[in-house]
Amino acid sequence: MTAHPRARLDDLVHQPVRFSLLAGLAQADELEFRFLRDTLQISDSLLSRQASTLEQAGYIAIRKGHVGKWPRTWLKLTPEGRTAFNDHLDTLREIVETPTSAST
Amino acid sequence: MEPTQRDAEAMLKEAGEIETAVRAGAPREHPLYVGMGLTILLIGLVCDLNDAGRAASGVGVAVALVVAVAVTVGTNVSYLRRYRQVRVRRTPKWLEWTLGLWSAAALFSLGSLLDGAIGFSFTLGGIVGAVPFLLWAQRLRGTA
Repeated sequence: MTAHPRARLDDLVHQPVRFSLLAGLAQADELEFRFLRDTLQISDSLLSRQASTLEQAGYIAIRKGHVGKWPRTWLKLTPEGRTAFNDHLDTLREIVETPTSAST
Repeated sequence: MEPTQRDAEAMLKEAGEIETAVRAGAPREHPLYVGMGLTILLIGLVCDLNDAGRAASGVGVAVALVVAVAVTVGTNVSYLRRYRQVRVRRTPKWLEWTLGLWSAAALFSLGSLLDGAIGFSFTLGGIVGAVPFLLWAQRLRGTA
């Protein structure tokens, strides 16, 4: 008997804010911190906390720089993060397409 | 945390909405290449008008230069404003270099070779140099 697809879900990616963060980063080379915050409609501190968690896991890279004299932070997906996110999406699609998982 | 089918659907929908939001905020590259094509054409025109050396040509040169600068600044500023927040490039570096080298070669080679043989030779060179930029802009626009 093969394991249910849910067994392959990555808990680190599955958390809603982290999942949304990775979904945003998957669409660009880099995203600016404030753009992500506004797009995800979350607070600075929550985004900062979840981004640090993903950075520690090696899923994203955080780069600090300046635009003029203003400090800015950019986030990007690492190859490991992209693989983890794409695998997670594939697993979610599999769950959606698995009829027996409806009541789990 | 074990998702039901409905949870998984909701997460996929959320990912789709975020993808749409990021794409909406992404800088548009095609106006940049339309602007570059137009600028190259105008540079060719400026070279021809400058060669003519009449007073009316001086006015034409000034107008063409103002339009070229306005187009370049206008397209680049609006692009860079978005690029600061959403960094995504769909044009590979090698293609940028190829387009740049092609336009310079077409503009100055055709312009110099045909100078005297036909009128507006540099403008013709500018048109030939601009075509790949416009084709690439059209492709970017089509796949946006």
